[in-house]
Amino acid sequence: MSRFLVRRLLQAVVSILGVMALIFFLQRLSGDPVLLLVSEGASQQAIDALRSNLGFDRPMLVQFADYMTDLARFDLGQSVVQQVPVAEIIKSRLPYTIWLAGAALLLALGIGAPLGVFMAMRRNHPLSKLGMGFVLAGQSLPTFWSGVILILLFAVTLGWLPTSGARAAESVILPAFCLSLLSMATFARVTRTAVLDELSKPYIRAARAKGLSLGQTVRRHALRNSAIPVISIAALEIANLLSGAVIVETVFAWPGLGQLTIQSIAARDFPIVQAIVLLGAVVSILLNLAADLLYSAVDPRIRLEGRT
Amino acid sequence: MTGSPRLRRWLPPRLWIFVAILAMMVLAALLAPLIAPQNPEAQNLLGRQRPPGTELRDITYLLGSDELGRDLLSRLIYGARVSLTVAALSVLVSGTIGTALGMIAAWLGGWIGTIIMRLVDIVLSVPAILLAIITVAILGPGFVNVIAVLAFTRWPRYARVAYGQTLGLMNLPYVRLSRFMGASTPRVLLRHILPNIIGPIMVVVTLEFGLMVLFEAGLSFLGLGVQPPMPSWGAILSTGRNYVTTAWWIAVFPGLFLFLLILSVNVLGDHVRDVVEGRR
Repeated sequence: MSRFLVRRLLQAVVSILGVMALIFFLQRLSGDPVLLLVSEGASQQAIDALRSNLGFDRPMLVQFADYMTDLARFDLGQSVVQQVPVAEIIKSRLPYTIWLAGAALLLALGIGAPLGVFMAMRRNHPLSKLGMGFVLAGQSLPTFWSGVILILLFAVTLGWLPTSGARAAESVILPAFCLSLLSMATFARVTRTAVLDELSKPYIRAARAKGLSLGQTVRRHALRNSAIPVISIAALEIANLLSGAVIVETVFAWPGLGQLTIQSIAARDFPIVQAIVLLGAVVSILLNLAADLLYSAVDPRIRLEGRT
Repeated sequence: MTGSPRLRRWLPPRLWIFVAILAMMVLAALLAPLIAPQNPEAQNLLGRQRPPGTELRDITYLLGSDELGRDLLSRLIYGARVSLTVAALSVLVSGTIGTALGMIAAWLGGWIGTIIMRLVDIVLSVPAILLAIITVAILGPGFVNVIAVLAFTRWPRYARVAYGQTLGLMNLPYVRLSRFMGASTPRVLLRHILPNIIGPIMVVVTLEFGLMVLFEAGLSFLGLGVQPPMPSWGAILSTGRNYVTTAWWIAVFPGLFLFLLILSVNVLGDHVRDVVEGRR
């Protein structure tokens, strides 16, 4: 294993531990953590009972050590409201979020990347101008608005697709499309820049000079090399899709982790919220790690010098 | 106005529309009590969910009315206030804290610097919206808390830039000279370092401002932001969602305003970045 790899792995581990500590202390900073866990209007007796039950009356450092050992055993605690292990609740919702984010990623890559290639090849085509407009708009579009517009258009007015929920297979189309727009714009922009970069290089001129058409040059030469930045961005976009799901799932009543987060906040079920945030942080740290490793696998300069 | 070549170069005509949109939103926010046609909180049970353009007695609902018969346009004008105030204050607070901590981390170095910059890495490694949500869940929603949450979530962006910039400056001859001549640390940081890193910090501000507008609206949409009856675009949109089949305008217009504001901020921010970074 190279030194770069080891250092990068260590960094990821430190970040994960740091996030765990951050959440623990945030919770304590708010004052009495027990108050986050009881329903409103609970009696003082119930509060005290819960406090000693959960061990919040012990010294802070002991609590912290316990919390970290529990996490090390993948024990995320109990749901306060449902009295079920948090891990089980998350397990029941996770497939929905993966399904939604996966479909969104497919849409974003499947539409965004070809659009980017086209915009690079035909810079002055009217469709390319339109595409740039889409890239600009896509980055400024609040998903909770585009979601409502999509529902209004395709579910209420045209009646083609269900408004919300996840009962039918086609239910995923609207939320996935809504969630994918921002990433789609990002993929289109990154792909366009990458292909343009490649097209300006000498080897492309050589390929063109020996008589290949623009299309052939792009297909045989430029595309492969410009895929590198797009693949690395993909890792980061997965993280964005997962956190974007919080809002999109609320808009479309999609029964995944995002909706669970908001429901748990409303129900004051703090252990679930905490577990989801931890999960999100860990996944995004790992995806960042994956993006870096992909970069270094492709570009040896990074491995040798380390990234700054 | 004049189409002088200098103005054209400094601000190309294709951007004027975005300047106009932004200026209108800022004016609406500043002058809300003067230009709002109605009291944004005045309910009218007879005039519920009236479509845009409805005239009822002597009131014209230009953009329609909401589920309680309040004038939507007036609520959106006051909503601009909430949106822009929250975004401006959270950028100000996070920018100040982040810049200060970044400069201090670079200047002092050692274990203090390491702790600050590790914290920066850790906070940035949590997806921002999740961190904001858990912090609101702990602090509780509300106008001030939203600003606190956004500031807490976003300061590392500034700290990272300030840190790198300060490191690059602190060993330049003029800085060393001023230290040699006995200037105190705060004086060196504020008088000699800060003015020279403010450009890159402003670039972060242009990136962050639109994001803060989006975050405030997102949190309010989820019911975790500004609380009713204070009109926030995100909150209005969220209620409008329940009436989308009978009164589409309640959800559509706040989102449109939000989109136009964020779009203008992003487009103009891109331009500012190009100018600052000398790409134009």
